[in-house]
Amino acid sequence: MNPLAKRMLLAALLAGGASAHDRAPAASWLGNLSVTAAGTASWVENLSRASAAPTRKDAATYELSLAASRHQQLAPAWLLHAGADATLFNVPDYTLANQLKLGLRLGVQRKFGLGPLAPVLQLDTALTSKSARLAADRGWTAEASLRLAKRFTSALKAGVSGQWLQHDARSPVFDLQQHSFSVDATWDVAERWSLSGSVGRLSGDIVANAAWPVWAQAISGGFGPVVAGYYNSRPWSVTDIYGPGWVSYNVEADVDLWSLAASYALSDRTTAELRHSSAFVVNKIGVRYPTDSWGLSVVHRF
Amino acid sequence: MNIRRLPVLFALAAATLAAAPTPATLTIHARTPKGEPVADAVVSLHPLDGAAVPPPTAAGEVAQQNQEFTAYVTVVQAGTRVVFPNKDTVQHHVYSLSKAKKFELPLYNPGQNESIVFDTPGLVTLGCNIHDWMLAYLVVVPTPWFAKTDAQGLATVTAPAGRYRLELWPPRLSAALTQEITLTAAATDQRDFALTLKPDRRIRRGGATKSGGYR
Repeated sequence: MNPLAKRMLLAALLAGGASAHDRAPAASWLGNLSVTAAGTASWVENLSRASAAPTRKDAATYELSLAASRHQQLAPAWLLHAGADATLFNVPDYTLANQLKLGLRLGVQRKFGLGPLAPVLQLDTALTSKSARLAADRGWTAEASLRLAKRFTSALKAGVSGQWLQHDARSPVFDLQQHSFSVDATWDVAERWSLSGSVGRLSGDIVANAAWPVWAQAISGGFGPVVAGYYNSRPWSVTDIYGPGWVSYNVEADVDLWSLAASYALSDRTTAELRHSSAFVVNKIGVRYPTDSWGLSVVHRF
Repeated sequence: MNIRRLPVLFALAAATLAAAPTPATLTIHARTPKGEPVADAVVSLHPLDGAAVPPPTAAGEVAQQNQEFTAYVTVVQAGTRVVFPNKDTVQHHVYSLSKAKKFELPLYNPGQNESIVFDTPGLVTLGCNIHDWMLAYLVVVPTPWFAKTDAQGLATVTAPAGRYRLELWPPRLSAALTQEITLTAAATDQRDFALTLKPDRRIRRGGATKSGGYR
């Protein structure tokens, strides 16, 4: 981030209220700030997360995010991370899925030794406010994650992570409590090209959707008593999110996740990435909701 | 001063100047076998005649700026004090695990200016424990006659005439190349080296990346 931009950002943050004496240490604090912007365009198959194949909705999605973070070395092996981020998610075909998230992050990192090959353990926490177009989904999300990462060569690094998430929404339909585990690796295959991949499993609540005719049949026993009994025990409501009469409902599920990405460093600060992600959701009574997406991102670090 | 002594002083000065060894110049041209210039190769001349080696006179500097070390390769004579100014806007944790000098400068804030004396000749690999891509080499040589190739692969060393062991080390060569060389007073010698370098295995700078998510 160039010094002028940092000063302008600082001035905006201080809203002109601080004296010149106050500005000097704040400017130094701001010097340690890293700001990243990302834009992603994706094509998502079964964005609607519907189980009935003929009713599934595919759509293009667009995401813009801005993140600012700062790190401070607390002791030779300990690093403190703090940051804030904003993410705007837009689905032109289904505008009720649009949302804006504003979050604060705090984490601590412990490095076991000196040098790039030393393992790193990182604990991160985040608190995010979600302003969804769908009022029932608005609320607060708390997250915590623990990650152990290790670089094996100058070109290969890998990590294992465990995450926990809780989203408290206005409606219980959108309340989530999830935990997940994942393994990821990144391989710098050439000077500018990298390949990365991850596999993981998520367990907990997810929100699925159904067109009204499908839902009506499910809760009235048309798909059997197990389906009717389970769906009638879970929170649901008509949200019209993917069309008139569409229902959103909350289920307990296991999700198998994997993603592969190829990224190209356009410069030291800018990277373009093509990512394929897949999530295969199986809810508690065995109903499946496969979702796949292709995304193209450009990420720039100021 | 007694004016009658002036001619004697002039004669002594002239004799001293005449006796001072006229330096020789050595030009190195380092290239790959394809003819591409090799920058940052360190050339040093180690006297084989038992000639006295003058002590270091200037301090060295390896700065941290824009989350990189400057310069990538620095050469100093053994016994030189090297300053490590943090000219960046972020903290660094400069360290070396090299046998020639193990050290750490943790909690190293912008504006700090620590210095260390490097007594032992050898290669000191420098890193930052926060920014893993930061890498630099400090080459400590037991001689004041050294230089580093520029972007054109050229380096010039000026040294007293005599017999030397020439050492040439670029960062992407595991061991230094050596050859014996005799420099003649007031003469310019040129040596060309065709260097087969290993691939550049530097860690890529922490790029901007995006991770997938699922809600």
